[in-house]
Amino acid sequence: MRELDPLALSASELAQEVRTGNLKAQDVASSFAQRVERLHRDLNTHIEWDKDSTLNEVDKQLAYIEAALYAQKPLPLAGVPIAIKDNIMVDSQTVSCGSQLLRNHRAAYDATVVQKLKAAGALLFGRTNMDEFAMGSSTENSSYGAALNPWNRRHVAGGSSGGSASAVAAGMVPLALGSDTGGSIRQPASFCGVVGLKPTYGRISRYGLVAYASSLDQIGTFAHSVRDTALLYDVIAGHDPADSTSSNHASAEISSKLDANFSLKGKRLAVIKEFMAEGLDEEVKQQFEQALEVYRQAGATIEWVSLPHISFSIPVYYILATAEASSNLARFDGIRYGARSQKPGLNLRELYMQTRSEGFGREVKQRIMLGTYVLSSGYYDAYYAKANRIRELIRREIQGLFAQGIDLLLSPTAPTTAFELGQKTQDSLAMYLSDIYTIAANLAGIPALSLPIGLDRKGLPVGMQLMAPAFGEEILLRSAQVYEQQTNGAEKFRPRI
Amino acid sequence: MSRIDRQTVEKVASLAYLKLSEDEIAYYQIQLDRILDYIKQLDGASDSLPSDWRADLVGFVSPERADVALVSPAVEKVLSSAPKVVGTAFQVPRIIE
Amino acid sequence: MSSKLTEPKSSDQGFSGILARFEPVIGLEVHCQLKTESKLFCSCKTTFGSLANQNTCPVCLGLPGVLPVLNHQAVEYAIRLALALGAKITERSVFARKQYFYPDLPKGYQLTQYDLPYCQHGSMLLDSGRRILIERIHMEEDAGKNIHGDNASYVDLNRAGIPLLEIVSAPELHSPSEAAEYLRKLRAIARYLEISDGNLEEGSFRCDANISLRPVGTKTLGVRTEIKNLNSFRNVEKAITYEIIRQADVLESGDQVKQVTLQFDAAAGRTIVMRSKENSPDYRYFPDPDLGILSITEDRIQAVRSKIPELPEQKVQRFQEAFHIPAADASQLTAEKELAAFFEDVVRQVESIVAPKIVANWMLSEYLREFNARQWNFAQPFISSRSFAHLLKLLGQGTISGKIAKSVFEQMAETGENPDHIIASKGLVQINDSAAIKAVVDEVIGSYPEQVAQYLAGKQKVYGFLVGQVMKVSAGRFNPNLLNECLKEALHGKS
Ligand SMILES: [Mg+2]
Ligand SMILES: [Zn+2]
Repeated sequence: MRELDPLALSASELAQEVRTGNLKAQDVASSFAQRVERLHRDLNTHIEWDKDSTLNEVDKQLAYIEAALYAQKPLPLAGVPIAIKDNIMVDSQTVSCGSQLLRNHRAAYDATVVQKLKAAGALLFGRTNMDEFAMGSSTENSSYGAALNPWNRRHVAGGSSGGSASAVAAGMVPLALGSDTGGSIRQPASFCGVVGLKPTYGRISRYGLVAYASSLDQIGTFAHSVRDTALLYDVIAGHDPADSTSSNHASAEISSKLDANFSLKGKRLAVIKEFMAEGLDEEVKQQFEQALEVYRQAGATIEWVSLPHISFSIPVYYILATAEASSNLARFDGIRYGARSQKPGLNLRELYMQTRSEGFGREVKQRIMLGTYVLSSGYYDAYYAKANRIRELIRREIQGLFAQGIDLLLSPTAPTTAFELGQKTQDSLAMYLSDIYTIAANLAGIPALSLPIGLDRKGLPVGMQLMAPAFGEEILLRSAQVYEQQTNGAEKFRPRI
Repeated sequence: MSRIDRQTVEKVASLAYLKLSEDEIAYYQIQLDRILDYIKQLDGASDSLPSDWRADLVGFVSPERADVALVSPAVEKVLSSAPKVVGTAFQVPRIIE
Repeated sequence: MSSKLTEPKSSDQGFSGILARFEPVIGLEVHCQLKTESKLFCSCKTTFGSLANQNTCPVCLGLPGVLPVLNHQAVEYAIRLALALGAKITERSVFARKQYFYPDLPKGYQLTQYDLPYCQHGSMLLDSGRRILIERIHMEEDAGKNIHGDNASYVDLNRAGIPLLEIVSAPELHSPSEAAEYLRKLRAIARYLEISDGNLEEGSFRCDANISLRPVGTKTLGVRTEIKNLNSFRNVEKAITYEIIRQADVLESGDQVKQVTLQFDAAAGRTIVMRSKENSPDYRYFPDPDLGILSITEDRIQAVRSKIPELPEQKVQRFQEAFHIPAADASQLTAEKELAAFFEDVVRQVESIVAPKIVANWMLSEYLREFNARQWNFAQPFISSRSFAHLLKLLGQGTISGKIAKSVFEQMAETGENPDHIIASKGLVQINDSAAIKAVVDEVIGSYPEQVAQYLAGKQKVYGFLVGQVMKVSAGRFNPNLLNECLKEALHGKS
């Protein structure tokens, strides 16, 4: 039997080899554990990485995999390591959300997606770095230091799911979970040169995802290829009775439909005019235009469309997301869990205020205050109600395009490639603007994906964003795969480490 | 133009149960003012929705679960790592009403 | 920050004097705990555990990452109450977050209904015939409990998340007793519907009252105060009475009533300020994005309607018409569903022998006296409806007299023995033998010639004395009707 190097295999191949017995899950685990061990400090990808305890947990999972394979369960992720963003609950593991307030907090239950991963035979591989409570676009708001970009460590990995993106890009894990509220999967995927998927709102259970902005949050995936993305998506998608916002919309498996005959001939792909305006980096623009050419070659028609209200995405987002966040983060009071202030002699109110002030970082406090302000007496209509109305208009404009026969919307994922560390930390607004192209998909609840399409002159990855109608993950992934196949994309983008 | 004064920052921080230092108050006053100024562009958005349109009445219908009682093991774990527990209750500074 | 208000001066005019000058305007907010198996948004038990926090889960502990899922049964109960109060049900209503920090509120917000409650415009009929408007009913989750020690407080979240209905009346009640009547009737309805225990002392039925005064004959509302958490019918009346007197004192001394939230100190019998209007909190309500619309369709309402039992208001009507009993009696007999059922059960068993009116009198006087004194319950009645009906039948058939029946009932209440046994063992059977009665009557007439002469001279009062003498000999066992007949006959024979 030939020697297989687990690190050289895709997630799909790993699972296949483990299921057929060509590869032992133990060997997969130890190869990847060594790689994490070697790299995670340099890139600061993980908030929690303990090789021994990870491998101990893996040992338990190996017994399950063996039994399940014996019982001929399908195990789509048999022996595949996956890193989990530090805001998703894994029973008994720490879950800090990048915050000092939760620095020693251990989850008391599994998120629904985690239950699904365990049942699918996946190996849980550490907890990845993130902006505190997912509030940020660079992981510089993590209280555990920023995750670095494996293509260039002076640059950010993006955020808020930067640790997951960086870990996948650096080959520490073939798969990772992230969460995306305004672009927190797609933007770091773009910055790190991997495939990042934010599914339709309601497609993936949010039970066990620490809420940032409930009406926008969605768990999603990081992988090197569209195929691996589909593999992971199929495992975690589906209705969950524990999440009232979870959709009953039937979720068809996508993996089996990839590679099959699929043509973009006659498909209408539309570029959002407003996103091609000022602020878009010239190199990113060129790369994106070349990617459009690839789709044109594949038979698709490319047209330009206008979404008049989309320019309001960022103000709408910052009102709605912070309003919801100010409420969602009220539970962090140090009474039942979390790091209670140790300052002596505090009365109840002082204890609350001290605990929250010690525990929350600068950006989190800022967003809590902004959200509190827009919901406070006398301001609700001017801000929150108004933002909801504009959100609806944006949603209708996007739905209108799909209703007119547009199959996908295309844009660059971010206006620039990964920026340098520290470049935007003193300017909240500049940081917010790096999510300018991604927020609309969250506001409209539609699925969107970032696909690596090239490198700029600095050698940093450029990403393209594809958006599909709600529950259109299949066409989204199949179209993305067409691009990969046309360009041999899935294998092109590996940083040299 | 400044829409956020010091008192507003203090009032909002107090509503949100955040204790701010002098530096923080100054910092947030500037930041919030800039952001709210930026957000102000919404006033220029055309709005064709009926005036009585409300987001909370156009969403999905809440599913309802059967009324069945279940026991959860979570409380043991929570109590074992809670900041301060006496017996099985969470302890807080004495509440003066 | 609690400060005591000045003690109301003991009004020299008394309470009725105040009511002659001021009209109290009272509205009640009642929190009614629903009798579901599980909590409103999670599957925890609703029974009270002996240990703090035993009936909790990630959801009601407010752990990070959890989400609420609405309890179907709680919605059904909510619909029942809306229908029973003739209220309008909103097809699409919304759960909002009411935000404030408190240790018994694990999420930092309470899920409740705000500007879109599921139910509006109900009403409640009082005995006076006045209909009190119920402005709204909404669903919400309960908070947990803070227990106060000497140096610290302790948080128990067993109650956190238990479903509540909040029932808000219009300010249309005008006296402490009307407020109590409204509350009693509301509680009775909740119990009839089997949606709540309605237990005030245990907190499954909680009442806040807002009160203002206005000069009699005027319409403008005065400044109101709100008293929180009145936990017994007695306290509702006492606290409202106290507050009316206090406000009257304030107004009569030329001051203005301050808009404050009060607490009633039952031991001291007075209200205490909790907070003033100026520091009333900004709750920052907004629709909960974790829940969708609460949908109550017409079909759903119809399905629940078919399960609504006959309610006190209808029962009172029916009892009056079918049984010819006065409204007040009917109202008392229907205060509890089980009492009404017991009554109807007895009426059915004694049909054509004892009139319902007699049964009602016996229920309301004898039976309820013992019931309350001895703390019986209807779940396992100490005296069954069969046994009680049998006693009334013996009375109706003339086997025993009313007086004997009462003493037999007392025995029954004491020992639980059946009436036949008591009557037999004590020889209490009524004597219907005219000859025997006549013999005693003749003897008594012979013994009291003076009284007989007075009676014949027109002094009717003496008649009772003579009856008493005859009864004394028979130890109360003579059939009173026969005795009457015999005595009158004998006396008139003399004239
Ligand atoms: Mg309430
Ligand atoms: Zn619970």
